Amino acid sequence: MPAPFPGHGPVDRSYDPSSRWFQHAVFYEVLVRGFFDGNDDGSGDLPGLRAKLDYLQWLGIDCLWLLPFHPSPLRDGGYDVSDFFNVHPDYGSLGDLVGLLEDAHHRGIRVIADLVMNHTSDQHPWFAESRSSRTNPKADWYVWNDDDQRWPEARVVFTDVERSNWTWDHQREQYYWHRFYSHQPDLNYANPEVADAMLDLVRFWLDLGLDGFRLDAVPYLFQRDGTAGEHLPETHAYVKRIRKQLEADYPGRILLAEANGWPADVADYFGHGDECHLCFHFPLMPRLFASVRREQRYPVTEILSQTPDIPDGCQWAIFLRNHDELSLEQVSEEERDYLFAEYAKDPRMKRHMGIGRRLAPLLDGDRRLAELLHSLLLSLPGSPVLYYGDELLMGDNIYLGDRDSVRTPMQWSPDRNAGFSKADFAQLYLPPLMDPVYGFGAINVEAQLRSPGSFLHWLRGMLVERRSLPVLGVGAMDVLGCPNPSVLAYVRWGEVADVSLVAPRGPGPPAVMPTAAPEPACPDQVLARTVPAGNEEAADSAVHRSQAVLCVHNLSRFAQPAELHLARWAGWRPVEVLGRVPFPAIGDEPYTISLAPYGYLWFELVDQMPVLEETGR
Amino acid sequence: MTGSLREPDAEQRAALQRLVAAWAGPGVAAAEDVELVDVALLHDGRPGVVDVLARVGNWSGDAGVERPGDRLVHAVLGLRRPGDELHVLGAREDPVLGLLDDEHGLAVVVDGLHDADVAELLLVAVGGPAEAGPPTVEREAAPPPGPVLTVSVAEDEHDPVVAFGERCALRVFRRPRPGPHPGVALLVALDRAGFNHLPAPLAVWRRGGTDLGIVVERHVGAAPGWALALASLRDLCARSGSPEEAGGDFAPEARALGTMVGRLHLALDAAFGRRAEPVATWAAAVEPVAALEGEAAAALRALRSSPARAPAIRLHGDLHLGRTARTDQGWILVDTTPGAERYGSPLADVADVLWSFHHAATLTAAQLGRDPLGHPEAASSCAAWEARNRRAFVAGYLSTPGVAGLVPPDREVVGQLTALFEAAREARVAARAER
Repeated sequence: MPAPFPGHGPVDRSYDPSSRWFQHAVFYEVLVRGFFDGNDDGSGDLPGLRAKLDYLQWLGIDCLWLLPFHPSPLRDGGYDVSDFFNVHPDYGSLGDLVGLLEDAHHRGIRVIADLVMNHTSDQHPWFAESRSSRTNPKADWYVWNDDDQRWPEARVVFTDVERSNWTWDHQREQYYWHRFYSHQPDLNYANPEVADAMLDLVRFWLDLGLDGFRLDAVPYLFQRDGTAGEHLPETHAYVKRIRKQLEADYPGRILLAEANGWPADVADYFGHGDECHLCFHFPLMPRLFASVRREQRYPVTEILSQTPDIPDGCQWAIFLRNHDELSLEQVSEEERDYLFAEYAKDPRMKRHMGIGRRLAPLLDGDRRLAELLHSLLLSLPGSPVLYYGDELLMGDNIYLGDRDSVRTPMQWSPDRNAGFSKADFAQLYLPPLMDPVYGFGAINVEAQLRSPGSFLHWLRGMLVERRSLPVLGVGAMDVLGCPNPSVLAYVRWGEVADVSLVAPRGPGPPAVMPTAAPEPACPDQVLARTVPAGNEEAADSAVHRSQAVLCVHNLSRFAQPAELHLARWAGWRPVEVLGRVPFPAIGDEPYTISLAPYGYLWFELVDQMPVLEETGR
Repeated sequence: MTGSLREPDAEQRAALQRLVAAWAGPGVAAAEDVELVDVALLHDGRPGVVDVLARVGNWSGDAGVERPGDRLVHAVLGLRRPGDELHVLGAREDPVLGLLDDEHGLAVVVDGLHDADVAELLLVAVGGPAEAGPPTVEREAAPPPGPVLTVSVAEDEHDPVVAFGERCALRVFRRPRPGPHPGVALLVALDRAGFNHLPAPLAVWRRGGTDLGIVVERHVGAAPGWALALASLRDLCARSGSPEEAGGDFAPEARALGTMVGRLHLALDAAFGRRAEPVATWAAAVEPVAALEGEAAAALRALRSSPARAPAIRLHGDLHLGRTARTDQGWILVDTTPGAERYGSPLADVADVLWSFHHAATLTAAQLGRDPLGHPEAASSCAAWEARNRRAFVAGYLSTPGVAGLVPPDREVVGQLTALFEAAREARVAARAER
């Protein structure tokens, strides 16, 4: 029987014991419903995801991010939760989740999940009770008002669907507040009972073994007269309260903020290092797409120059695409018109204030552009978040409603139902893609595993390289001046530590992973790896050194020269990362490199002496 | 050995005359053609820096007869110990000019701007801490901080520009005019008015009321606006299609450039004030310089009898894509050294940039038309590019908050004036080409 994942030997995948593991981790966002069907009922589930952990380990990701898997009427992809303390029966049970966590941890993969904290489904028992009268015990668990005029400054998020943030409830005969769909009433965090209940929820899932949360819609928790009801101090105080709980009882677990805003506003969710560990950098993403279409670096360099420094121990989370539309909220009106014109030529591609398409179709299927954008994703400051299926360059189905266009089943093989499920086709939660370009006959894991030149293998190779260059996670960044506007080049530099540690195989040190079941006995192993300096707290030995990586990108579809001002690195030698090819040493004059169309190059900058020694001179 | 150069004696002055004659090169035949105006010792010792203002002419041939070549020049001389190895900058192969004696002994004298060590000393004298500098330097602004990494020199419109690392550059006026330099005055005034789309002036080098040079911030890696526009046209013509669909679409940049020009005019208005002038006067001024046809002729007919008045402000006066550059932060003006001070409608500057778009498009179309492989769609593609980017530029300009107060309220008049000014620009360029 051939090896299931050919082409590469085993990768060191043991658990990274550092509490700052997230600073150099690669995240993988997965829709449980869409990944793999373990019980042949047409819907992906937790046992199905567990069965595919070998694949994810082979790919080289560090942390899974699970989209909501709780009981829900599923009118908003599970973000309308009707029971916070359970698992949707389509996806399995609490026991299945624990099994998934144990197996993932055993492979060195952490797992975080969405914490839908701003609202519930209108089917949630809390809401049923709250709407039943104005005097019941949960009467103030949601935000009620006699008229719909309060907080006019608060914008409507889904402007194409909702006209107001207030909806009339016939039963209670009052309006209730909702920042998203009208079937998602907002919880009232001003009520201490609600704040406490949600903290109980946090503890419940962490006790089961989750490694952290993505805080969904975190800016909207509180409301206040005369404000837009976003980013309020009360909200930050509550996030600090959650963080305090993590620091006290769950070290090494993380909070990731979903706050779609300008970097300076979003950075507030890091607090002084006492709020979220990570925040999504939303405005960067549309500018990456604008830059490759305009073939100029300026959209990216401008947003980078407006991105503030963040506290020590924090990190940006960056991404190309996710389960939502390609959000154009954080761009100017002109830029939005431009991006709609370029990337959403068919009106069906527009969703809310964005574009409901996957990465590959956005790029017209151009493999070179996909590599270029991933090269940026993996080398810009931040921890990259991949979206399931994008490692295959999967397509989308713009004829499906809302954001289902980008949530079709993972394409495992050319077999029935894309190898996703053995259920009848009609049972599937959504049809897999079957078109000649992106359909599962053409794009699937099995085919790409067999083809060493596939995008899947390319991406895996890049993830392997990135693991050896942790400075890409946390290093400083110098954007290099270059007269050619199509060239985006920067140096990432900083201190790293080569560490070794004797680690038991399995779920890592108890302080980080207080999971229940004892692991089967496995021999200890000595691990050697490179981590950012400051992340070696659990290592047995560490040798510090500086690391610098020069990344050069050509955003043009034509070959381009790059004249880079690298005088600061005069005397250093660039060594190309993928092939370890030494390039001429850097001098006082601008350093010239030729780049292929949409080309990219990563160089490790090394002091010239070791290279000379290697050549015996 | 003689005395200090702080107060040069007759022998030293004669030597300095010879050195300036050697520095000035062809056209100045002998030391007699040099009249020293002012000598300042900026750095004593070895290396040393002596700064000389002199009038040069060609009097030696016909004694007493001033020739048209009579002019004020400004030489920065470096004093090196004989035998010192020089770190020569720029294209000047041999910067050695001659010898000079002072209390430190005999010195080899070099063109200071082509000697890296001397150039660094000069920067310290011009832009360094005030207490450290000699009293022969007056400063306008804060000195540039940080260490110097590498020094290079380039000629920019006859003036040498010495670049100090990626931090700052010193432009030395080789032919200063008595009194303030208009370009420096403009740059400093714009900076003070809060206009930050330019290389910030870090220090002004002035002596006896005459501007001798300026230290400005460097924007390493800025892309010249003209090259950016040509790259966009080249990319468009490489594949057929409309400009908005082609890679390298310039319109967002054109719009941002329009905003930058709008802010420039607001800063000029704030710094130099405004006055109301009759629109008809502007129209009448264009008539004799341009043979008007089509839109411009119709504009002239409409405006000649217009009773409207509109604001006139200090203009840049010679604005085009070549005077702009795109940095990673936005557009900047790279050159604020236009000729005479001009006042007029700010739409004259706008028209100059529009003409620059036209020039880029027609030049590209003409070049591709000569290509033996043939670009049958080049002309129409370039025309579409020009139209798209003119619209974007004007939209960016007129939508800049505050600009509405600088242009006539009637948009038709705005269009007519712009068409007229653009015709005038074209006529000026054509006249220059004929000369």
